[in-house]
Amino acid sequence: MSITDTGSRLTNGIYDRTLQADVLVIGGSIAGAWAALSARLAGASVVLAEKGWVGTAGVVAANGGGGHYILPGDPKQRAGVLGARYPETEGLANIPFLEEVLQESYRCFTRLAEWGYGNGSICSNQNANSMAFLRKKLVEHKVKILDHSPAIELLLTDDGVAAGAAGVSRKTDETWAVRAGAVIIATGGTAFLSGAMGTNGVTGDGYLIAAEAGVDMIGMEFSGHYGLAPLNGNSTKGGMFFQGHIFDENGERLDPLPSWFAVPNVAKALIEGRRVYTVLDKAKPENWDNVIRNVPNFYQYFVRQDKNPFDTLWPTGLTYEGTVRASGGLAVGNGCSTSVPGLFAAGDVTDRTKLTGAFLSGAGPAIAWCVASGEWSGRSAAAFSQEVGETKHARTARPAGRAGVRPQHHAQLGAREVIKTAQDEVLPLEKNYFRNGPAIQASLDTLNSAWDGVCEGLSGGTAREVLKSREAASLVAAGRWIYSAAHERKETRGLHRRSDYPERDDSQRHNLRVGGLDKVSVSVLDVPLSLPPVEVVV
Amino acid sequence: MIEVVLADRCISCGKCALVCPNDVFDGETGDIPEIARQDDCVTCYLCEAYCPVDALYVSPIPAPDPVIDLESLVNSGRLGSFRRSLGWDKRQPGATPEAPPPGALPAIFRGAPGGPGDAHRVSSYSPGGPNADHARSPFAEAHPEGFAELIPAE
Repeated sequence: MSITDTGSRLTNGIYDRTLQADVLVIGGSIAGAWAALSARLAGASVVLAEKGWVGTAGVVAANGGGGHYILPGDPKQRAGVLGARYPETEGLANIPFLEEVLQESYRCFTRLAEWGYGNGSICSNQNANSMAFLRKKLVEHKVKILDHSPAIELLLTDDGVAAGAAGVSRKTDETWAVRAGAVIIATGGTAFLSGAMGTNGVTGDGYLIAAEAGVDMIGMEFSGHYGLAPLNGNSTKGGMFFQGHIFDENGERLDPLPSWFAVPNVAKALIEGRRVYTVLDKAKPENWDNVIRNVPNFYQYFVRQDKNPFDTLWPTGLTYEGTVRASGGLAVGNGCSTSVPGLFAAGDVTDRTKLTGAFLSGAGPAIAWCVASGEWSGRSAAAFSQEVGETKHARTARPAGRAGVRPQHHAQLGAREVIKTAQDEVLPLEKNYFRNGPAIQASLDTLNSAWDGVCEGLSGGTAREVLKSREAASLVAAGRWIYSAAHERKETRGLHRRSDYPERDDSQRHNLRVGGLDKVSVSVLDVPLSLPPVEVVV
Repeated sequence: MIEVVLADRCISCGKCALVCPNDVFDGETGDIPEIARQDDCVTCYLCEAYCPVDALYVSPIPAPDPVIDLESLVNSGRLGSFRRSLGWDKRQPGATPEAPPPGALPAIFRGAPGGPGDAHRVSSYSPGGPNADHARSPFAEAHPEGFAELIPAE
């Protein structure tokens, strides 16, 4: 190993390890794991590079969740699952597309059952177990897993085709590169390090590396989402709140509609300085033990402090969940391709407005999309790599990373300060829940200035510093895209709320495409008429 | 956050340092792990889940909580409780759950989302709807004396 530091070796293309594969997958939670298996089963050799450890990394292993599907031959169930959340999409969802996704997820979950996971839930309470199962499958099928190996930048040919990625090994300070015939980005959304359970690894890295190749995002303005959680706890499992009731300090009910539907009232109370309390009072005492056993991660907060959440009020707060549960992300087309040849994307990192419109993708559609998009991107990437053929590893490819990895001058900034700057604009309820023009502009001014600072002088020496610098750059970038889109949508719709434009404006029933690095641009993308699913007459 | 590594239970297998998704521990096989980056801990309890000897304790508060009495912790029964809830005291992580009986729908499909009573369906909360009883709070009804006394002390 050279005596120069990890950061210098990376920026100079000196790699301690170089691997070759037909398909490289970046990100190893459920979407990435599924994509890797899909590509492998399509005959490709696969490397899966994960920032943490495949099996515990990502939101699913820590926080859990269930996936939706359509049961064949059950028209009532089909109409029900397509229609249950339709009104909240506010005209931006594509129901025929959602149907294809839920048919694919049915096939994927069936395959999971055939592999032997037939009597367990995919995610819910057995979250960590299902991810551990997928890791075993990956190993069994000889997917090469690189744990603790964050990808820092893409490698692109002179024609701008994706040809692999380079990164660092967090625990050994090594640099690595993977040359590939195709690359799949499955790096998740971002909650800006709010502490929402399981989200500390998802810092928007995938948006930045894709943008450096030329990919744009859609729906980033639908990101004003905060999850209910115990006030000094971190498990934002909204599903739990359907089991109880929420009050303010005066005893006023805040949840005529439960859980995430009540978040606007809770946000308003908190912004106005009123404290909020929850009691999970729908379960009968004889069922309490069962309820706790069913969702162990959420209930640790209470059990470990000898608190009873079912018959006492407990202080409640809101923790930012951002694009993890919301709906925006990388623009993807057929087969989960992006606008960059050889580059595909799956899971929470992608635009999900076609599934759930302007509202949450969480608790059902998102995980269905993770497996379906994993399945599709894996096949597409395997096919693309096959098409590239013999030249795939011989092509000249250059690293595309700039902000946070190749600053214009010597490193001057600390990554943690930069992260704090981004968080200060995105996490506060007053700025991001009820947005308004002047506040958005003020945040953009701060973030744009932070971006200039990052490009000027942010980088790292050790592997951990390299990673933190890139994460900091990614968060600043994500904040700019979110607020640039929010600035252009002059209405309130779904997870984008403007106090200066508090009504929905039907002439803005379109999507916004946002992209660019030094200069961010926003454009309108027309959306086909969104027809509700046909109701089944009983 | 992760607070405690019980050195006298630890068998230096290195699993916690390996599986922590946020690289909180330093240490490999043969070392007693050190909590090197506590601020990065995301309070996911997965290190506890993977520790074969229940030598770790994660406080449920996602902020440093140094006041932990080791003796009462060991006597509390909490060590290893999360691991037991996943069944990993009896089975390996990722072990295949037993297969459903022949012809039975796999457990994955027994939830049938989207039904008329689906919690995410707003219309289900309308008067007369399957979830209309959400309007009543059994807790509020059991405590007509008013709210102020029920709010926990700061």
